[in-house]
Amino acid sequence: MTLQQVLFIIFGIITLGAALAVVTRRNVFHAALFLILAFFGVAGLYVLLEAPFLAAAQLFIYVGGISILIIFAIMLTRDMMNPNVAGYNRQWWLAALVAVALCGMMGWVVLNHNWPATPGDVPPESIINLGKALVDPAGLVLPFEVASVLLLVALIGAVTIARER
Amino acid sequence: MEPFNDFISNISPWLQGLLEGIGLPDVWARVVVLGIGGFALAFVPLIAVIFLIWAARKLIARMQDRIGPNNSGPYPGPYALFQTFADAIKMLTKEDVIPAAADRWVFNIAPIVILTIAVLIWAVIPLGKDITGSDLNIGIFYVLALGSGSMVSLLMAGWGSDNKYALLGALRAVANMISYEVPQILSVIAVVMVAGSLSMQEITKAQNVPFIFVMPVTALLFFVSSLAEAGRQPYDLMEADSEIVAGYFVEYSGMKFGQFYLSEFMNNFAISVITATLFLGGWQGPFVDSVPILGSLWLLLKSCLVFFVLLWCWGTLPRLRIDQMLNFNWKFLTPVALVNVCIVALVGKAVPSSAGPWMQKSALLGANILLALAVLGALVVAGRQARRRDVSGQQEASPA
Repeated sequence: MTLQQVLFIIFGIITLGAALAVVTRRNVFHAALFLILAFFGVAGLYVLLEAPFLAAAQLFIYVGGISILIIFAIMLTRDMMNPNVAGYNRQWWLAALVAVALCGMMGWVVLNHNWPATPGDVPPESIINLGKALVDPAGLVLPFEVASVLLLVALIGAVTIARER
Repeated sequence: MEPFNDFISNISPWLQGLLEGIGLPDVWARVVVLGIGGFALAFVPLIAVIFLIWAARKLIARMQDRIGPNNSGPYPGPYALFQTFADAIKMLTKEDVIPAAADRWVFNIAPIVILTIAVLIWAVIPLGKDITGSDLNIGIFYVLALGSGSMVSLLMAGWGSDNKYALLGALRAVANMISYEVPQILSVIAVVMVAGSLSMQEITKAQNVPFIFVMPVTALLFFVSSLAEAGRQPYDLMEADSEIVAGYFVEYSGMKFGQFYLSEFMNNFAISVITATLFLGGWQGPFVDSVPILGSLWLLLKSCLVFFVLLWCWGTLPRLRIDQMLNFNWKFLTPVALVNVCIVALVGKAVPSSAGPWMQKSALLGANILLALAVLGALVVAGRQARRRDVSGQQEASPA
């Protein structure tokens, strides 16, 4: 077994174990922390795939942004941590249905996709290629710019709301 | 002398050869060497911090017209140099108190996470011409991404302690960090655009003129928002002693408190080193080409200079209120940082670096000075209007 395989198994166990804990913990704050651990595991897998930029973006966006948002939402919600309040509502069967359907679909894709058995070449400077693809007229420049402008507008909007008196 | 000059970059191939000579397989020899390297690198901030704590005590004492740790008292070592060691031993032997209502796991893991992240930052910092833990091509982005990880550990500490002051401190800390991340990242973007790379080594190499002389406004923006990110005065409201005792680590005792204290100083020194790398030219300096090890000395001197400015703020500035802190960020720093990014992008494109070695740099400097003057002018006008409003408000109020 090579070092990479050992690391892959370690990161895989971290990700899957943490993801399992997210859905089984009764304590919502613990579940959120395990979600962060799962994000770390995925970031580790990105590093193994020689995509450090994606790994850092994963930490930046999911750990620094989304998880903090989730934790804030937990802290601001009443009775979230009360053990006497049920952790589900009347729509639980609908959520279960969607979850089972999604799981089935992903399982079907995993089983039926023609996965290449030999590893492809890893581009040496993936971040440069990524950057060029994002601003290349033949590439993704339009969606990239639209998303950037949207975020910029949101940022300026925040500043404008803060200035209003 | 020659092997000593490249002492640190030569030691790893030598060690690897030694281990392979013993009969270790190639991969595992590499793992051992990298492990030792990582271990040694982790000790750089630790050892630096032990002496920086002493320096901070001494310098802040001087600024506040005290003597600080000295020879006359019961302090160990010349000029009380070993006081930090005594403190460390005291912390290690103190009782470890865990509050009865605490979330034990979260409470215990939080100091480990925060210290781990504080050490991890050092992996990408170029300590010399060829001395980098790992010259990632996403260098500075990695540093910024780790900063978001430390937010989680602060929330863990605040929530796990089951203490209202701790939770308030953690919430203040996270609000602070989320807000000041914006101008910090925007100022880093300006640096990255001029240097043309995210790698810390490449950014250092791009500075034949240190960026502080090319983009002074950007440097100031970065330093101020970094101060806020680290919760240093005047932004120390996350651990404001007089309001919320000590903030998120109020319930910690013994070495767990020590871990918070250590990581705080490590972060402060990391800010100094990163500012020195991004804006003061990092390890670049005279004679570095012939004697590479001198680069580490230049970097140390520059970071100590930045650290001194940080201590200066620490020792002299009063604490901001939370609304003042957020107002300052969203109404002043963020707009200035946004305009700064636009200006750097436009000037950088309008005057390409092929136009001559000094053309782009002086154009950027001119644009930055114009921006600084415009910002100061806007501040003067806004301040005058605010005063006028105050005066007219009083006049209206006085007859009634």
